[in-house]
Amino acid sequence: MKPIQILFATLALAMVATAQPRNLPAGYIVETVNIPKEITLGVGGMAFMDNNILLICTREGEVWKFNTQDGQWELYADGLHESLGLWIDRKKGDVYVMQRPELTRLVDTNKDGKADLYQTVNAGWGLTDNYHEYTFGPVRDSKGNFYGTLNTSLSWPGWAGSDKWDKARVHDSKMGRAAKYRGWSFQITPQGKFVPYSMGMRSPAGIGINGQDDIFYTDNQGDWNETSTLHHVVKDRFHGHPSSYYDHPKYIGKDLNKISIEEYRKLRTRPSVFIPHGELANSPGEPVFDTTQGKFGPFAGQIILGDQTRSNLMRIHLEKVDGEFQGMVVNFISPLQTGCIRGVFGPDGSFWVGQTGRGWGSVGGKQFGLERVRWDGSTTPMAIHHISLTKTGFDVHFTLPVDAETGADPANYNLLEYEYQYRPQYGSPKSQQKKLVPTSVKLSKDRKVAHLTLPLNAEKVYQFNLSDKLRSYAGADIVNRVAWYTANRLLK
Amino acid sequence: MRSAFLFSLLFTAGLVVAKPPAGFGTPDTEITLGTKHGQMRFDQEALAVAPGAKVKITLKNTCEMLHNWVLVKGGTGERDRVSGKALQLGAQSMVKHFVPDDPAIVASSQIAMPGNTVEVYFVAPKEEGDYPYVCTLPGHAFTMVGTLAVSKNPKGALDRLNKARPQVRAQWPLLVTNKPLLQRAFVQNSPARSICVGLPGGVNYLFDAETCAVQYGWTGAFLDVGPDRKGRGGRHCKILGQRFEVGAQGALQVGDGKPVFEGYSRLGTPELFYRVGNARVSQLITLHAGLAGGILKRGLQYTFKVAGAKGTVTFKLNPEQVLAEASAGKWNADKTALTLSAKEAGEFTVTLLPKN
Repeated sequence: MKPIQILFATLALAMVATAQPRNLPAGYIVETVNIPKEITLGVGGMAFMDNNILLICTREGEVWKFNTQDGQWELYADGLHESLGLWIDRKKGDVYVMQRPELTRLVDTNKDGKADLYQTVNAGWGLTDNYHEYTFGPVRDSKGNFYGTLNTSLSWPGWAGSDKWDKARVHDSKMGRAAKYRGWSFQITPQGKFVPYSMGMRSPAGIGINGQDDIFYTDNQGDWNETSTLHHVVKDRFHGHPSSYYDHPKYIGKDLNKISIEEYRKLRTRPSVFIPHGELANSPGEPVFDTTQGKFGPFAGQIILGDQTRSNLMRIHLEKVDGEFQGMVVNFISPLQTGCIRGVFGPDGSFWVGQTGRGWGSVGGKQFGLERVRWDGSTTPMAIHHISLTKTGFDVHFTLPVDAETGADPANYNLLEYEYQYRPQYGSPKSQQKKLVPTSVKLSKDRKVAHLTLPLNAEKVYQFNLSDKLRSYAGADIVNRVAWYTANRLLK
Repeated sequence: MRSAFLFSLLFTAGLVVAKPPAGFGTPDTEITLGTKHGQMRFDQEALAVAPGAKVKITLKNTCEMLHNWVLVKGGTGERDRVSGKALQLGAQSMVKHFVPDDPAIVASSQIAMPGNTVEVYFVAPKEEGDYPYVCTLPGHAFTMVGTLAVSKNPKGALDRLNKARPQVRAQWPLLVTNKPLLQRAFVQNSPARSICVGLPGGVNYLFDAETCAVQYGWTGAFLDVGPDRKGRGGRHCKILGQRFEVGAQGALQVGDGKPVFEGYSRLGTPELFYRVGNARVSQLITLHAGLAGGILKRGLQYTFKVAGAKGTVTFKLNPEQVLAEASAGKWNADKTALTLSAKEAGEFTVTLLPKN
């Protein structure tokens, strides 16, 4: 295929700030990239090759070079089998791309700007022709290990259309395991060895890593997954979907249906963050840590997470409680033009959103797209910065001082405490719901923190509904006033 | 390489320019026929003339390969038979412009050199009907074809031919022109780790990266990837041509090593790499054309390079499906296995022509 090169006169023509999303914190701007009509860009992965070139791999199996300065597009590789992730070794110039059947290194041996050598790094997992057996990743840790996640198979014949994949469905759930290591995360060592890493994933469509080599993945609501979730990946951990036990060395040959739901519940590690289905996310993508140190605004260190169906961006703040991650999720920007599945920070601190809407439907309606979110570098929006657990309740941190009177009124902090049920059925309703109002609210001296006192219980989700009376000292509204905190553990 | 050889032969043989036969007079119909650059196709695949018309065909070769034009009576079976016969001309090939002596041939041109024009003058048959035409240069006869209708109503006949021409019915066809295409995809009844390759000349194959062996080939158009790129995708892509078997019996055997796929190069024609035990194998797969039972057929040629083999190397196949020839090694009695020494395996070719 001939590389399509379309030269835009200026970046202003390549990027258009069109109608801005309804929910947009002050100081943020959304720009949409004009994609040449010859390109179908169902984004699967993104990474910067250098300060200008954004490399984008697609569900269609192509890899495109997008010059963010002059708007030129050039084909870098093609013929891949559904490429859903990229990682670039910027020192060596090697591009790693995750395809359904393997992790591949792309090399441009003749330096003509296009990959010509496609090297298999590893293909250690099983794969059938079941459409749901996605392969996601890679991320790479500081030691040079790659990590990826493997989707379960769609195994129920009623949905899959054939009983040939009907293997390892547990307690009549819909997803199963038609090939080896479906539902596992894996590690590929610098020597190229495949190591099954953790298990219990259902639809682990996004994987991310922070600067301390902590790996997280998102999962979609479904069987054995109460709602959309964010999980901390730790070796040998069981995250919840039991079909993956089929490949666990201690369980090989055992009848997984003889293990009770209660036993699986005890075996699993709860998600770090529950992301309420329907309210905030339906199919979360890649969790991207804000490593811009303030270039992208006041949320440095948090996770920016997009959702495919709802086409929104969320923010997640994590903290360690009793040795485990848990934390808060809140909406950030919504809606964008179509499903947000991938994200990457550019060298200037702007956030690029890779989008696809094909097949599942997305708010916004477009089939695919590329957008950029920029912060103006000066405006601090009035927002919930994060919520953290205290021994006596929660601290709600605001980006700006809150109004002294309304900010100290407990009636402006309506809480809902609830649980989800871990079960083989598709998703879970909220249960054990209890409305709460803090017994007291005290503001910090700078009025940026509200100390809430209330009774706490472990393994609950706390939903914060901030009243619209709650405003900044200057009267600014809070853009997203509902947040959720997953309290798996309490401070001792 | 082959074309360089042809060039030198042609120049030594000299070029004869065709003139209208004495007494031919003014043609009733003049047709200019072109060649599609890099696509191994005539630019018109349907022509029509009146019965007994004096016809002048001008073949304008705008492609970098050599071509000719041969009109045949008796249908496409006769066309393929004549094309096969053209391959057997041997040393006479260039002198005869790849046109054998055959009663089925109605008219034929000389070879048109790249960028050159040749002319053919002939009187159309009196008998109405469809007459296939073809370029009989080696490997061209599969895609460089067309039909000339002889009809009292040439315009109506042309419309009929154009409507009847097989259309590629596909949601999202990947079509090969002058460069090979490679696409990894799910294909019906094929392994999950399939690699599909379409070669110029209308031959395609499917290689399984799990077992490191070609599974089958097909002639004609390449692949419809619509089922993978429409809706949620993940459905089986469709091969667009006619499947043929290659006698597949797994990867090259080197000791009892298990094949492990290592990737491929896409500099030019795809070259596939894998490891069998300690041996490193590269396999280049190209179009091979030849005669099977007197009929011109398309198949595949494997060029293997095996480095680091300790013992013998074995290539296995099912001889019921293919006619196979090898450049080195020794076939066993029933031709199910070719065994090569480590040295012979350094570089050797196997050509396969389907029997189906």
